[in-house]
Amino acid sequence: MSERGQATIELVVCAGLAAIVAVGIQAVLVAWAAQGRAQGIADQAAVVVAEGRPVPADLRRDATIQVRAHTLVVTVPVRLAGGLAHTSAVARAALP
Amino acid sequence: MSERGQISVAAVGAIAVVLLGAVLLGYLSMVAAGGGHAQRAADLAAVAAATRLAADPGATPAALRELAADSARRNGARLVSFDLVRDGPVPRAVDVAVALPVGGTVPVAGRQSHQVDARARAGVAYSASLPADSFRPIDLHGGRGPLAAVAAAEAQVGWPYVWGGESRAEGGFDCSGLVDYAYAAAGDPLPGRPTAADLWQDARPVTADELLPGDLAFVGTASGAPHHVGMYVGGGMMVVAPHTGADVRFEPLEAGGWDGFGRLFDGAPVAAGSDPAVEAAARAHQVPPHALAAELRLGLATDPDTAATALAAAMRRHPGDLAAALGDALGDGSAAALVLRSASGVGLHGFSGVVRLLPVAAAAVRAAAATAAPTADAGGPEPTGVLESGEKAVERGVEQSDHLGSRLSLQAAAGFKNLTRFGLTAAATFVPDPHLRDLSTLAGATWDGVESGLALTRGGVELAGPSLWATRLTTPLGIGFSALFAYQAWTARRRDDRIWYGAQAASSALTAAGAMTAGTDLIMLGAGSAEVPPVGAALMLAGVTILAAACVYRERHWLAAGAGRAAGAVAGAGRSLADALNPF
Repeated sequence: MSERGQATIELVVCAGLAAIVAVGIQAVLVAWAAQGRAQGIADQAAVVVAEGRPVPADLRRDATIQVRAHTLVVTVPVRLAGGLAHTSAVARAALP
Repeated sequence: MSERGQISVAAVGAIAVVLLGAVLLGYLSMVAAGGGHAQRAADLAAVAAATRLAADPGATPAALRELAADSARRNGARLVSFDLVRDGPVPRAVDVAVALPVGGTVPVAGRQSHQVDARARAGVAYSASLPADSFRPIDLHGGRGPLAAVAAAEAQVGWPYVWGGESRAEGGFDCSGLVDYAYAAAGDPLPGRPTAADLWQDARPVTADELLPGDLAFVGTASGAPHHVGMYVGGGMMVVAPHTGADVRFEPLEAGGWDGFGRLFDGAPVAAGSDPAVEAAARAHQVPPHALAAELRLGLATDPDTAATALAAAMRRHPGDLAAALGDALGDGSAAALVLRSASGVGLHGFSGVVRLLPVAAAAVRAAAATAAPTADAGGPEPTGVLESGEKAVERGVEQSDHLGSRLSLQAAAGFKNLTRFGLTAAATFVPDPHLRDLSTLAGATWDGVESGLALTRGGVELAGPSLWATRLTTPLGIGFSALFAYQAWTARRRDDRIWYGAQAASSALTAAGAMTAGTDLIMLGAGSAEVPPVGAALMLAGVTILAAACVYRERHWLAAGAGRAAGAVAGAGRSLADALNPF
């Protein structure tokens, strides 16, 4: 194989690896951000629920908020790799 | 060193900076997340205790503390302190402080543990409304019979007279309706709906000298069918629903023209006697004694006569609405609700408490607790002014909720500040231009000097979180660099270099010495905070001042040239502006 061909193969492999690494990093960052958002919503919603007030609509916009027994569960959907995969970030808070 | 070697050193340095930055970022995000969780735990602990307080204002602090501790524990935190804030005798709020252990693995630094503290205050605003379908309920404490009937009748003082009236729907009482209601409320209902004549027929006649509380007095007995009746309450006083246009009121026995007296029930009274002073004040000022007694019982008033005067004036301003009158007289809706609850007992269905988180500042909380406690002990009615009214509490609670998310932003701002200072250190080390390196050192030294000076004025500085860890890292480095700079000063050939390295050695030594005055907390990794005393802050200030002065000395020619260029540029701009503005 010529030196030029070898370089081409190396370039393609490196580009592929870089793309995979980029997607992986993006997935980690998106999941991290979603977890933080879920926790933030849980923090606010738990206080509002404990005070006996309805949860504001803006907290419900991107999350599902459920109260099970004395636990508030917040679920934020996460789209990974441009929507190719889906998961969710979940945060809980113990209510009085 | 070769050019390639210099590049290698720079690359290693850059990687080290990135790693150190990652450590700081990891630590900051760990503390930031912990801060959010700790605040949530504190908020919920406060709300848990306040919710119980809203349902039961008489709940003991120990019981409330237990609830707060349980809530904090279920959110991963530990209750550190609990205060029940009272405004006079009225429980207004609970203050809690929690500590949350934060643990996590930070890149390079490994497993870290830290404790994050948070405080929260939850306020309670009480409200009460009398039932819409019945007259004023009264807590008879299990009493029955004539004395209980007297208490039930007296509680209706102020209601309007309505001919034939016997229910709330009819808007008031007539004379026999009041007697009928009072005995029914006392657990001894009379048959049917007796008129004054029926009551006269049912009663055993007594003389005026034999009258006991609960006995009845009649007008028109000569005809055998009296047309008016009232209830004797003792002390030569009657409670009557007199006539259309007048309210249920107390009257002297001799003023009523009573010509016959009767007793419905014989036997000893089955009820606790009321306070004579309260009864006298209530009768003198035409107010219901049960409300007056509740005010005194709760410690909202100390003098029955003064309290009765205020309540009477308020009842005139709010005819037919005892809840509003109490709120007016006491100047506080929550206190009025507690009075109604105490006076009315289980018959009051409209009692409730609203719980809202309130903004909390550590100093304010301490001050509130300090001012509230003596007032509560004294039992006086003086308001502390610590908390606002119920409406205000709701508004501030909403604000608190809205601000919940911004706490993380504040912590992020603190982290940004730390990173900015760290960036100055990095610039002072890795920027290629030596003048800019010295300028960065000067900026960093000025920054540290300001912080040290402020710490000195505050009586020292508490290191916690990132600043504690930064100090732990830089103190041993400072000792090492002090020795290195001292060696360089010793071996330097030029005078300027000897001054520069000597100043850096002195600065590093003084700064490290200042940090070390924090004591063993600085080296014990388990300690969450360390206190640098004023002498330490002074040593640090001296160190950074020397360093700043050395920077200025070393770069005096460059700075002077730069200042000259800047002055020239300003002068040139001024001339250009003058030329532009000159029309000639």
